[in-house]
Amino acid sequence: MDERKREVIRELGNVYEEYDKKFPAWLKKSRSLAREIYLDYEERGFPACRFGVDFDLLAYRPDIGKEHPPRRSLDELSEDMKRRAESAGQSISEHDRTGTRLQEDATTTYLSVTSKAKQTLFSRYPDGLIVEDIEDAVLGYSWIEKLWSHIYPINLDKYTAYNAGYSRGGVFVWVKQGVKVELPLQICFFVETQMYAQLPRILVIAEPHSRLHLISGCLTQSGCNAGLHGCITEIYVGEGAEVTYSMIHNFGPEFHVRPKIGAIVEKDATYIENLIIIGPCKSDQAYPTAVLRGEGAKAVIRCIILGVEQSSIDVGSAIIFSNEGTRAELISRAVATDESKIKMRGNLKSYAKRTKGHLECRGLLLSPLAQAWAYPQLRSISPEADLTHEAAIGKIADEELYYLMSRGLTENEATSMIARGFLDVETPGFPPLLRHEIDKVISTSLKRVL
Amino acid sequence: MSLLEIKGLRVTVDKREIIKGVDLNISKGEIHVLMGPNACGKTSLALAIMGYPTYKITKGELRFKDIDLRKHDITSRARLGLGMAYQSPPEVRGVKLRDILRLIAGSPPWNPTEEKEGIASRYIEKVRLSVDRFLSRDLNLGFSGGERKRSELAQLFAQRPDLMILDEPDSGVDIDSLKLIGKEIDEFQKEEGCAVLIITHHRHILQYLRPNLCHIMYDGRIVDRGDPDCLIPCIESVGYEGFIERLQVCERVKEVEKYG
Repeated sequence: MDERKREVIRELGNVYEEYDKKFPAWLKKSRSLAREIYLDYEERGFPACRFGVDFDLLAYRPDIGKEHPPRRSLDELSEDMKRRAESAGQSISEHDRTGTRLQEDATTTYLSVTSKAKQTLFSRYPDGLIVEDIEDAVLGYSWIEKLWSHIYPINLDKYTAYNAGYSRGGVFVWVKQGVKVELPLQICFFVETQMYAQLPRILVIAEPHSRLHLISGCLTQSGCNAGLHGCITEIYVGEGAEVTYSMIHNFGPEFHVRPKIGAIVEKDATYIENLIIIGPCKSDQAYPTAVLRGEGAKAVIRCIILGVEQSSIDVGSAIIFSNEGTRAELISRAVATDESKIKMRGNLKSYAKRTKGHLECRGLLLSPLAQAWAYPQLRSISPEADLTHEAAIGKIADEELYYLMSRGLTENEATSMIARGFLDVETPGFPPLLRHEIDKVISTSLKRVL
Repeated sequence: MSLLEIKGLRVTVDKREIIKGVDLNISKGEIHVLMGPNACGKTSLALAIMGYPTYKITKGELRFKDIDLRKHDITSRARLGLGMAYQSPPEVRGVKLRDILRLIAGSPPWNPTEEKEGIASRYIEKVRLSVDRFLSRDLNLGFSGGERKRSELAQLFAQRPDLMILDEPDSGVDIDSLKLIGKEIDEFQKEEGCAVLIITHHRHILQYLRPNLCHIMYDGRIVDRGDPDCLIPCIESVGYEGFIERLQVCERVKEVEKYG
């Protein structure tokens, strides 16, 4: 490790010593331990992470985020930010949403529930849904200690230790037993400071028989094209509950993105995740993992990737079947344009009887300079597990292209239509309007690319 | 002047000659039938007219509305007024029948906030497919034989071409669907006054269409043409092989008469 890195770590150490004073003792201890582990990773040059390109984390700083004044409504965002937020599934008018939480750099600038949600959800269950800053939540609820870094242990890899040691901001979402939050809750993360390392933490608790849909948009604004976004999201889906987590990334060409998303799914519960990457980035690595802990638990993880410019994307997902009768489906769809490189991974690991899993990785190459990989993996220790996979990478079949062209579509229109269809994965339970919004985003991006 | 003019057309696929000199003229509003044994080049001729790049025109003329089609790609040929219903259309995953119908008919993309499905459902209803079931189905994915033919027709109707090329719209179709398809084509043809080139193996569908001329294709050539009411029964009784043998006998008789 060179002197520069040592110096940065020392400086950060001082900053965070001060910053951490507000936290309870257990968290202070965990964070300082994580920083030590991170230092170890840097000093001993441990393998950084199983997947994705390694880069110099210390070129970015988690302590340089600007302070932002609170906003009274999302309407106060600049036109550029509004457009970008909408491109990540965020509704500026908050139409058909339960509420919004907006984080700019490390500051929460807007947190509100809609009047529609007040009339419906909150009139019935005044405390049915809690949405708070995570740094307030750890002070308010001491039991969070048991859930903190439980799915992603702080020593998992360099990036996890880095977030666990230096995180700032983030959100805590808690749905109480039996409460069904029908309208999506949107959470939006903006990086606005150049070279800023945004390291939020998200903790979601869905109590038994509750329902929740989160739409998380991770973005940057036009002027800011270099930075880091690395969040840790831990989701607990209680017995019979249903959580849908949709995450959309739209960053800049010099951004590194390292989200860690993990879920523990209890008996008869359902976890649905949609990871959508549409914007350019320098690198984006994600490996969302769901542990099906309870009997009959179910998970669906879809990764929809549009590779543009020189993005290097390494996205996969894993399911651990640890109880009987659990089922899961992993779907990855990637369209690689320009000079993008996309790796799709999928891993099904069965440790229990009567488990059923299917894994699908499909890639479409739309440019001679684009590249795609597919790595499907299956592992089972039970003869009664039924695990299957299919993987395919190719270009659009001429036959399909000519067919649409013979209806009067230009080659570009036909290509865009097929590519859009390719990325439009049927999502049961997905609000049609949101699907339409995502489709709109994808078609705009495709139009730009083609 | 003919709408479609083909003169001495030769077409190769992978350097193999498939169309070996075809002449064909279709005027506005006419209905022509193209018949011939399997693999004689009927579909190849249709795809060459549509402009599939794999079907290379090596010789001859191909004109539509007096425009040399050889300089135009598939899209612009379609926009000039050529339309084709495929015998076995490809499955296009993710592309909804609704979206393609709206695009063909020139309406803006569907928005889920719209109450009505608009123009797309009109064409689906026209070919008696269930609107609820087919609007948001992926194009041809899991369609039965008859459903494919109907969806092809719906697309063609939305396109409103000046020349419809129908490649076996009656194959693999039950008797009720056949009747419906035949009637719909006839109705549309009368309304729009478009020309039709229909490729078929059976005369049943022709009951609804009253074609003007029938062409018999054999081994990449059109070997005979004439009144469908005379030609088709003849082929049905002796088959293509028998028909060709007789033609050859006739040729020889002509030669003998000419040169003694």
